[in-house]
Amino acid sequence: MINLNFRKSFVLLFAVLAFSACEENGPIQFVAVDEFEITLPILGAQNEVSFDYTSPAQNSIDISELLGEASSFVELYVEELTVTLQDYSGDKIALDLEVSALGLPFDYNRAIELTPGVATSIALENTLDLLLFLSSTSIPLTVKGESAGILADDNFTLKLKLKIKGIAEM
Amino acid sequence: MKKYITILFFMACGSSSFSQVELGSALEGTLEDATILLKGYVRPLAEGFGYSVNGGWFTTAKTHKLFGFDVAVVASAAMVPSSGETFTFNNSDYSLKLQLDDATISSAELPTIFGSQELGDRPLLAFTDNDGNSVSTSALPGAGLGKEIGFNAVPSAVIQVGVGLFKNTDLKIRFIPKQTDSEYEFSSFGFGIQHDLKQWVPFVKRLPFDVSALVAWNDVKSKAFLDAEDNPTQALEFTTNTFLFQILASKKLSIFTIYGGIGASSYTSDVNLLGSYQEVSEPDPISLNYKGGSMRANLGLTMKILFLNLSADYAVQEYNTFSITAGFSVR
Repeated sequence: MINLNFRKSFVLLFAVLAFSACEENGPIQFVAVDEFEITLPILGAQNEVSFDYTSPAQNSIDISELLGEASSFVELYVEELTVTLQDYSGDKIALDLEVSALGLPFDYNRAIELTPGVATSIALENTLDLLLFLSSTSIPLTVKGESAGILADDNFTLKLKLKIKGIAEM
Repeated sequence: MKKYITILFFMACGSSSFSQVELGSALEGTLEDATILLKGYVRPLAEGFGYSVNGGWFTTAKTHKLFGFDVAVVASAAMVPSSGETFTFNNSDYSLKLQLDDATISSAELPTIFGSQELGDRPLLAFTDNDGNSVSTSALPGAGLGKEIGFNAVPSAVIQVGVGLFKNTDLKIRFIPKQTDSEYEFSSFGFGIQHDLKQWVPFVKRLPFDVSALVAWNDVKSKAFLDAEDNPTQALEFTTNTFLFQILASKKLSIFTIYGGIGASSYTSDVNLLGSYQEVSEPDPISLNYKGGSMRANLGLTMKILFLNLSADYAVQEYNTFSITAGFSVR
């Protein structure tokens, strides 16, 4: 009996005391902000004026690391979006570019001009709330582009960088 | 990046999942940064325990007669002051791998282990790896003790034996043999000397109250094993040494004794993360050392019914401490 009391007291005394109460007080929330990059191939585009590509599951953004040890998100949205044109043989592309995540289009001025190798930061009118449509930790992206002129290259890529902020609960 | 988040929540909520967390991978950031951050986070626990252990050494200034003795259980709680609920994070104290996410500020108050769990009280910290990739995540939450029981306190409990020796001198012993379990170890040893001063002062020794002096030292060792089955060397070790010196006075009134004293209390506490971890080259990667002390004054009341003693006292010091004592006393 005494031994049991000792154990109870001593467990309370030390680090376990401080490391154990979280669950009793309800879920703990934390914010995590991370940047995710994805490269989308645009193939067979030469002499075309538009393209449309949706990333397959194996080439989508995986936000499981953002969740960490937490059980669920209570908020999840994209704060920033950056687009880089890569492997394009022409000088630049003037586009009406629509970028969507989980089928939700980002809200911004879509008339943009991309120069190969130059990252273009897109000023979002509103952050994109992903939570309602999130069914897994994989987020597919879609790009739809319409050029004012004929595209100069057959195959090129668009590198997208998304800064995603999540509030998760443990 | 998940690894960084893992360590944060390991430190805050890990007791129930110590054995499930890959602590080694969580430590891949700079150890110096982790050590500074954790030192601030754990500080009130280490400090409070130092003060808590020093509670309850005496319940009267009157020493035993020769071979008189007492046995008591002492429970103390050191109240964590509001200043112990946060610590200051200065960017300049850390490498560029760990900074505040908000680039417009250079310092911020972060919760300690006794601090807030609210999201709004936990600024974002930005962790950056060698490739320049960064992730930001909320500062550690407090453990929620204040929310759970209404106040923040660091408890301790000991068993103490006192015996009267020659010249109105008591020897006090606190001893707990090593307690071992698959998840922790614990042991404690301490001793104190209480000596009647009044006997040496002419005339004063006839006055109807007691005056004595006490010096006491205590050593507490504990170890919590993080992964006892697979990595028995991985452990969180917590050792505390305390020292107390007080001048005491007491006055017996029927079954009651009012007692008090003034003096000084000091401690050293070490919190060490022991063992080897993946991705951390050196063993025993984290060592947090604390040292401090303060003046101390306490006031208490003892009730004695036959051999039974019940006492309560309150000590004013850096971490004010409330102690209760139950036991029996003979001669």
